[in-house]
Amino acid sequence: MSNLRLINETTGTSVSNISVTDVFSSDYDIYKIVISNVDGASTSHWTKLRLINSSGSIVSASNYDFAMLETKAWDGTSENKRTSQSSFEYIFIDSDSNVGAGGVGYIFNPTSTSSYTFTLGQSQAFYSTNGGEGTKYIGALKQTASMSGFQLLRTSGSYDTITIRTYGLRVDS
Amino acid sequence: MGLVRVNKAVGDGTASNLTVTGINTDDVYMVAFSNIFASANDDMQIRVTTSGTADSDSEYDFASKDLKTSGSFGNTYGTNNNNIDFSAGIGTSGTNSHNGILYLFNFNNSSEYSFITHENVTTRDDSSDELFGFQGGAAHTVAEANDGVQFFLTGGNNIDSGTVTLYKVV
Repeated sequence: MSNLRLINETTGTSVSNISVTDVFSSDYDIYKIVISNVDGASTSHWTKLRLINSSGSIVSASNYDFAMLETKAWDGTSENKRTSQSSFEYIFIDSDSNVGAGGVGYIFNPTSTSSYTFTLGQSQAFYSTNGGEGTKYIGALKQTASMSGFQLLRTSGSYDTITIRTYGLRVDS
Repeated sequence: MGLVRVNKAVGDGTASNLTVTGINTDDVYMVAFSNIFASANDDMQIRVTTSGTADSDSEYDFASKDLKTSGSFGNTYGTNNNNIDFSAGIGTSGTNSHNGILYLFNFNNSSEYSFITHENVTTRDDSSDELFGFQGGAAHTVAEANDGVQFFLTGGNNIDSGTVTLYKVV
């Protein structure tokens, strides 16, 4: 049996945000998040990520730090960094309808009450007519509170489709 | 993609390194690590192992892009170094811990070099608390078989917490 365990698959159609709830537990310290089948309903927009705490509430306090290297096929790279934000900004930019986008990220220690919740990952999409655009990012939610899930939030408009698979990495054989 | 756990090492405050071994096939291997922190602020590096012993030869080439929240992103790189630099300072609690993913290539092949890709994230040691992470890669430029990796603290402090797990990618 694989030590990479599929915990949850959530799909969205014609939604502006999508929550993946009750996926983090003491069974795992590291989670792999695979985002696929993404189509935006309008011109490309960024997607943010916010954690959901153990009470089921979305964490919107200004405790998110984030750094992202934006890779642009038409313009090289640019740096984005934020501290004390209300979300992890710039997880990925989606594409116009029928183009697609995808990404893979990890979340570390979300249920620990003595650690921050950390994330890192990469994505690739196609930005409007400009060309291919990707991200390489890191982030920390500077709270020592237990998290149970997360939400992806489009900054404007909606996703035609989106699929999120959440895996846990078992450390025991 | 599936993962088969091969080995793990857990920090318990008794040593300044964590070593995972057991690579014995030509498959790609992955290392996942989380919540590593130290008895005092320190820097963490990695080395490959041969027959379970860390190689301290000056045969490491590495380069990474350094993501952070203050100043411009940096570049960490070097040739013929005796380790792979992949930390800008870890602290003494879970709020300053080191977390990340490595992929290991060609380790079991005795006629080729060994290669590593890595990405990691921490908030730097207790004094700065700055978000910081490396995304890069490295080569151990010796045509030999390697069977694992060692994480170690350059200042010799002990690793008080954290789990390093070696998986075979199947």
